[in-house]
Amino acid sequence: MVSVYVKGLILGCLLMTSSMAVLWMLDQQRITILNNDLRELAWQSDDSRLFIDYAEEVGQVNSTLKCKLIEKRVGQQVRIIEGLGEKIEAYRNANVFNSEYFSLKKNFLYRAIEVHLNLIKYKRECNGSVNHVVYYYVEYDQDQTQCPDCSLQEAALNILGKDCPNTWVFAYPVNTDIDLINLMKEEHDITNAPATVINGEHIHKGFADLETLKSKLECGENLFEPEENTTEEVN
Amino acid sequence: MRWRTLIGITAFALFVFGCISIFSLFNPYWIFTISSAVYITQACIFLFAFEESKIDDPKPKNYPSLTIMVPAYNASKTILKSLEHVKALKYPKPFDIVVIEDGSKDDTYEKIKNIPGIRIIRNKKNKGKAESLNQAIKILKTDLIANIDSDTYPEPETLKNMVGYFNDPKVGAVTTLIVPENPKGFLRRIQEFEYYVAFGFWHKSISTLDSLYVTPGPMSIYRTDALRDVGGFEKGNITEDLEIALALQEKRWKIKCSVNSKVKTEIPGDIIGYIKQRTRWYRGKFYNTIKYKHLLFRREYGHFGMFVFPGTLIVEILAMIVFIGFLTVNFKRFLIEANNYFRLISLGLIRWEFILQFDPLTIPPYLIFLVATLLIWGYLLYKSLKFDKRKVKIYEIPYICFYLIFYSIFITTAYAIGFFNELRGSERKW
Repeated sequence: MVSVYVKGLILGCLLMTSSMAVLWMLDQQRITILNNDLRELAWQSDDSRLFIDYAEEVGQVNSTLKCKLIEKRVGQQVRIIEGLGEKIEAYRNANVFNSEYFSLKKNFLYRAIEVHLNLIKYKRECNGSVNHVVYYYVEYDQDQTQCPDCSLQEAALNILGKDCPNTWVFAYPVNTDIDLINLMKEEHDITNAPATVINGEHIHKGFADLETLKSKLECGENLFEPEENTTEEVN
Repeated sequence: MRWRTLIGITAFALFVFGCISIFSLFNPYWIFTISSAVYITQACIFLFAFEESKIDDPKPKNYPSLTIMVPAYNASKTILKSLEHVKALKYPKPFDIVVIEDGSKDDTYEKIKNIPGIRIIRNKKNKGKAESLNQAIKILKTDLIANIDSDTYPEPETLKNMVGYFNDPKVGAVTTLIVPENPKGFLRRIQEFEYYVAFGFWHKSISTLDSLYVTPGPMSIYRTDALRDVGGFEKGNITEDLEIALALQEKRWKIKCSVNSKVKTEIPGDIIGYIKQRTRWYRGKFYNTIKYKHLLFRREYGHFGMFVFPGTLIVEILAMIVFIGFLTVNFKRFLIEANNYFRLISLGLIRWEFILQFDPLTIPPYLIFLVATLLIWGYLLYKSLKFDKRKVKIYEIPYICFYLIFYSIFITTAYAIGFFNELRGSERKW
């Protein structure tokens, strides 16, 4: 009769191991997806930075062409970064085995700042009709005790992004050790979340409803939509 | 408020606090992992025990003398049908039928008083099932005593299938497959699947390990000597069928299970009746576990003392910890989310395009363990239905899904209420 226990234990272990293996595979898949997105973003960032540096330092490129190329590069970046922050959060909540999320999130924030700065540069130098909204939230606040209005603000900003496709929201945590974010917070005198800064000018502390947000910016078309391929293959 | 009540409530509050603390201190995923490992391993062990069991019942070497006791209290609606089935039982020898009419307030006695071939013991005052049965045990002289509830309807072959186990002189009791009578309605249909697993698969596999710890009230047969050896049923015990089985285990009597014939019994179809019945069962289980705690982890009680009795206790405690911990932690989150949704709706910030966005990679990890547990339980259910050749109809699939996924919530709620009632020392009643 002992064999009943041994067999049961083996089958139980097999089932548990299979479940753990599925969990591990899901974890790996999530991390791979995020790493790929972040790697792609890093390449795009490097490409943009080098191009802008070249255009500024050598100045051989005329301004119209320069803006077209900046627009193309920023467009590629914003398409990758769109929803990536939320995806990292969602994947971190589903994660069991991986401990990479802290560094992934930090990496993402650096990339987001870079895209943000490129967007500002594009708006300034090329008169691009784009809006950039900085949203400050509290990280690691599962119970929403530190920022009960953050989820409302996120919903409002998501809708804003859909209704105004020329608006890009950059979400930064208020509780971070990234110096640049802390500097931005100081400049805009932000101490609590939620807080929003629209186009670097309009600061709103506390929850800002959709109407308030929309009143502070000009809604327009998304300039960064990928152009449809109109070329035909000719034999 | 009595001191006992106060102490009980405090103890329960501390238990709940402990459950919440466990969920706060440790990652809930790991708590799920550990509890799933325990459930799954226990189910796998019972599965292999079931595979090793012999479904065919042993042929009786001889047919012992037998008396059927039918305790009846306010059984006016069911007693006639029950006695009809009892009288139709096939047995090569004549057997006695004794109805213990336990001071019913309805017309139970009037209905049975003129039925030929039955003996009636009538109590002027209600004494309870255990005492009624003890009354009969004192005067009966047959080798075996079968207890059949007055709302239970056995199949004709039941006795013949069960008595073969008494060839072994160490067998003190034999149980059988119990299924609900007329399983119509949501709750009854779900309970039907539960009964197949519990009284069929579970009891058969546990009896293979000689560790069955309940002789179900609807129908069980006892060796008269075994009943007398343990001093009969405990007066006032709200789960006397559990207590008598533990007493038999204590005295090293074997309890066997036959699954080749069915006994149908009336079951509650409304949620109040269901919770009341289950609360009584689990409260009784808690009480009897404490009474027989000296059997836990005792090598001399074999599989029962070392695995089945402590194993079921551990599983039940774990289930309560997981249930209460998960419920309280998620209830808080649920309130937050509900509040968020309410505010989002009031601010017009709900858009279906966001709600319908779903990334399968964001599924919670505990769902994986749930799937593993469902796989094994689904297989147990399949095995349970298979030996009765019970076919599943398409419209029954939602009931099966509900049984497999959500039914444990009902059970654990009833267990927690029973546990609470026992701690606070409220009156034990049927």
